[in-house]
Amino acid sequence: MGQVRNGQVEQLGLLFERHHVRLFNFFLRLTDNREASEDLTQDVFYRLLKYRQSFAPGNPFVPWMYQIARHVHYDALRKKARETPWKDEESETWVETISPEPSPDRTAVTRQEIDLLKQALAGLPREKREVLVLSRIQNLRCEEIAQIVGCGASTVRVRIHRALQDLKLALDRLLGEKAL
Amino acid sequence: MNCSQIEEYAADYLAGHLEHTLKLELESHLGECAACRETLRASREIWTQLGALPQVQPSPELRLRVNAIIAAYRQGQAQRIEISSPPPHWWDGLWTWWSRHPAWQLTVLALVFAVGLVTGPQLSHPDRPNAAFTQLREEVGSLKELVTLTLLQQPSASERLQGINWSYQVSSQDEKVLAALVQALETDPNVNVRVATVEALRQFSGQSMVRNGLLRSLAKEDAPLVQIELIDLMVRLREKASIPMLQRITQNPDSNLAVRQHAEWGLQQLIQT
Repeated sequence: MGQVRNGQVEQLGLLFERHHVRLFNFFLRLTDNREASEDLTQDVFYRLLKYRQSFAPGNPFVPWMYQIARHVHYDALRKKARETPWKDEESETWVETISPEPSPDRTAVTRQEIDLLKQALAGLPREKREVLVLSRIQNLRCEEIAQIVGCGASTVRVRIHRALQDLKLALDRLLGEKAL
Repeated sequence: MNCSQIEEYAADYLAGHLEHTLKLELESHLGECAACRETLRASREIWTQLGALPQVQPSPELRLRVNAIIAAYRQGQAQRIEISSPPPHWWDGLWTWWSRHPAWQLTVLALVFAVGLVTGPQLSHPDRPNAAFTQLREEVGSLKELVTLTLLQQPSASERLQGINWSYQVSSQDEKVLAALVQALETDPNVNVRVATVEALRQFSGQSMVRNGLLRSLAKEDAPLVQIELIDLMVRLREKASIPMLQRITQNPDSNLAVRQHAEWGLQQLIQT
C-alpha cells in the first residue's frame, strides 16, 4: 500500500489479488447478497485509491482496509435505507458451494444448516454480526478488530462471546421452528 | 479465574489465541464450574459451525471492473504528469507542505480572489486562450468519456447509474457517449437506469441521433415510469414526431391507465403548440 500511496497505482492490482476474495466474503456475510457484495468490494478498492494519502506508512494495511470496508458498508446501508432494502428488490438466488474437503477445524455441514446459520446471522444486530464475521470468518485477532471498529480489545472480546451466545439462541430457535 | 473473566477470554480461547498460562487457568475454572463449561460448549459449537461456512468466489467481472478503475486512474495520472512542468519531487514537497497549512491556503485563496477582482476585468483576453489549459481541458474530457463508457458497460445497475451521472460532464459533441446513452435507453434491463437515461439525454436533445433514439424508445417502451418520463420530455421538446406514438398509447387498452392519461395530456400539449 505504501507504493500505491507514493503513486504506483498499478500496485493496487496486487492488493486486489491478495484481498478481494476475503473482502467479498466479508460483505457477503454482512449483506447476504452477491451483487451488492461485489459492488461494495469494488467500492473499497476505489476508495483505497482515492484516500491512499491517508494511509500511514508503517501501519498494518489489513485493519485500515477493513476500516474503509466498514465505511463503505455503512454508506451503502444509509443509501439503501433511503431507497429499498437489498433483499426486497435485488436479492438473488445463489447457492453456496460446499467444499467437499473441509479444512481440519471445519466440520462438514449440509446446505440446510448453512441456510439456517446465514438466516440466524442476518438476524443479529450489525455490531455483533460484524465482530463475528471479522473474528471467525476473516480470522482477525481481537486487537486488530478493536482497531477496525474503534473500541478496546476487551470490549471486542466480550462482544464476540455475547454474539456467539445470541447466534446460538437464534439458530436453536430456527431449528425449533423448522422441526414443528 | 472467575465466571465473569470467562466472558472476556472465551473468544481468544476458541480462536486458539489465548496465552498458555491464561488457557490453563481458564480450563481449570471450566473443570470446576458446570455453568461456564456449558456456556463455552455452546459457544464452541456455534464457533465451529461459523468456521464451516464456505468461502465464496466473486464473479470474474469484479476483477475487470477494478482493473478498469486502476487503468482510468493511471491514464488521468499520466496526463497530469505530462502537463505539469515543475519536477515532481519539488512539486510533491510543496504540495505536502501546502496541504498541511490550511491557514496559508485561506490566505493565498483570499489574496488570489482579491487580485482577481482588481485585475481580472483588465487582463481578460478571450481571444487568446491558454494552450496548456486547453490541452488539460481536452484530456480531462477524454478521461470523463472513458469513465462514463466504462461504467455504462458494467453488469451492476448501480454502476451504470453512476455512468449516467458522469455523462453530464461530457461534451454534447461526444458521439461515443451519446450512442452509449441511446443504447442504454433502448436496451438496459433496469427501469431506474432507463429513467435516469431519459433525463440525461435531455441535455443532448438537440442531436438528431438522440431525438431518433428517444422516439424509438417511446414506440417500444412498456415500463410506465419510463413512458411517463419520455412523454414529459417529448412535450418539453415540442417533438411533433412523437404524436403518432402517443396516439397509439392512448388507443391501446393494454397500456397502463396513468400512462394513457399522461399520453392524452401530452397529445393536447403538442397539438395546441
